[in-house]
Amino acid sequence: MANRLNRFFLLLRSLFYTGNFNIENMQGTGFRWLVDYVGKKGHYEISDELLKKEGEYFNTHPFFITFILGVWFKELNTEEGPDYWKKVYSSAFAAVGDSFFWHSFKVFCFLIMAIIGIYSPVVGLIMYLLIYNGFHFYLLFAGFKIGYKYGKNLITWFNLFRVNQWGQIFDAVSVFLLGLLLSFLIKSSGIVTYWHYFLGASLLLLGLFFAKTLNVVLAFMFAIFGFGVLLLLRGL
Amino acid sequence: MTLLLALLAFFVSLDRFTALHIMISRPIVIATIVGLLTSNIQLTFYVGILIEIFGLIDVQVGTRIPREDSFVAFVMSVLVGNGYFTSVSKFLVILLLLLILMYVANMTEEIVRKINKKVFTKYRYSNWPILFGVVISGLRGVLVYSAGVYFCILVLEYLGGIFKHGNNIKTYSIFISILLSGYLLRFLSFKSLYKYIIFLLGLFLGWLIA
Repeated sequence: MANRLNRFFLLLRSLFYTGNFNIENMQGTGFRWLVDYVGKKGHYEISDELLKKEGEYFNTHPFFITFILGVWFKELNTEEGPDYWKKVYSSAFAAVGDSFFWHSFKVFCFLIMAIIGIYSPVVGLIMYLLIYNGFHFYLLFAGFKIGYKYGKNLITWFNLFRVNQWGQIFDAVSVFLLGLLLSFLIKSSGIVTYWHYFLGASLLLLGLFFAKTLNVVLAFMFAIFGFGVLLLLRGL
Repeated sequence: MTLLLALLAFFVSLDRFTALHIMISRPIVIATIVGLLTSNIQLTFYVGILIEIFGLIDVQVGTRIPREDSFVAFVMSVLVGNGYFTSVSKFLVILLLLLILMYVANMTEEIVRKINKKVFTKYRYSNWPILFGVVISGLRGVLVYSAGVYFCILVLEYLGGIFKHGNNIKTYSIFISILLSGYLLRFLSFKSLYKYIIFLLGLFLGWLIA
């Protein structure tokens, strides 16, 4: 199973395994589909009963699915069985993936794209997709092999790279890039009068203040109203 | 053009909730692609930045459906790219309208999940619900996103000669982005004092080199 061709097709399938996502079994249908595929390709003996059971509730971060599959097959014939470790790693990866990929890495990639995009939006777009998906596809491609190699001890591989600290590191870099982006946005657009400088600083402080008290959708709506009034009275 | 936009809507919806997860559903990516298709990339890009910052302050966790910022980005980009906004005031009115319609778009995703659940319950041990889910999610995008575009065009036609103030959409997008950046700054989790020092450093350095 560890050959490159099969892992490539596994990667392709893992991009679609969440197709039946629902509130009953979440990603369970897709997980059973992948187990069935790997089982047949790798000539594993999986009983119909066990395969059906894999269609029950399952949820993780989609970028780590192949890691869980690797662990599942490694632990298939052990005393504890594969499902115990599937549960352990699926919830752990859901937490890690949500906080890193959905929270931190997405912001980081956006800021890289936005800064480059001010000068060339197309280059920015290519960079965004390359950085994000380079990481994404690597995890999906390498996941099965690593998961299978480490089995239930997979956590040691992740500890090697201090994955739990990535979020904070990327957030710190993003904070710097956000400052950089705001300066670039204002200067590259030529809006550098004292009035604009005052308005920009005030808006940023208002945003920081409202962020603690007001829902972002409401703040967005108030901002639209506010700018509408400003447009009628004075303009920018 | 219409076919390409419909295809993009299909994959955006798919990427957002159902499969792929390659980030073509991010507002800034949508805005740039639509800008390329409509040859108005400079303006759509800034609208993309605005909606992206708004959309980032939301994390997809478990069964929770995050705000449909892709819908807002798609409709706004198509309208901006095709030159439907002849004034800033119309731009602001439509943006406000889309923030409300966004919740309707979210409801359609809830419906898709309910359909998926029914299909799963009926065909518990079959694999085809995956393909069905992919197709229905993509079609949701085509229907909902194009309905959003047509509805906004109707509203713009209805508005006609009123709301014709201002002509610099880019500047307004940038200043609203600055306000929402305050939210993004709070959203990023890092020790407060250091966070603001690093932010100011970035701001200062950006000012020097831009």
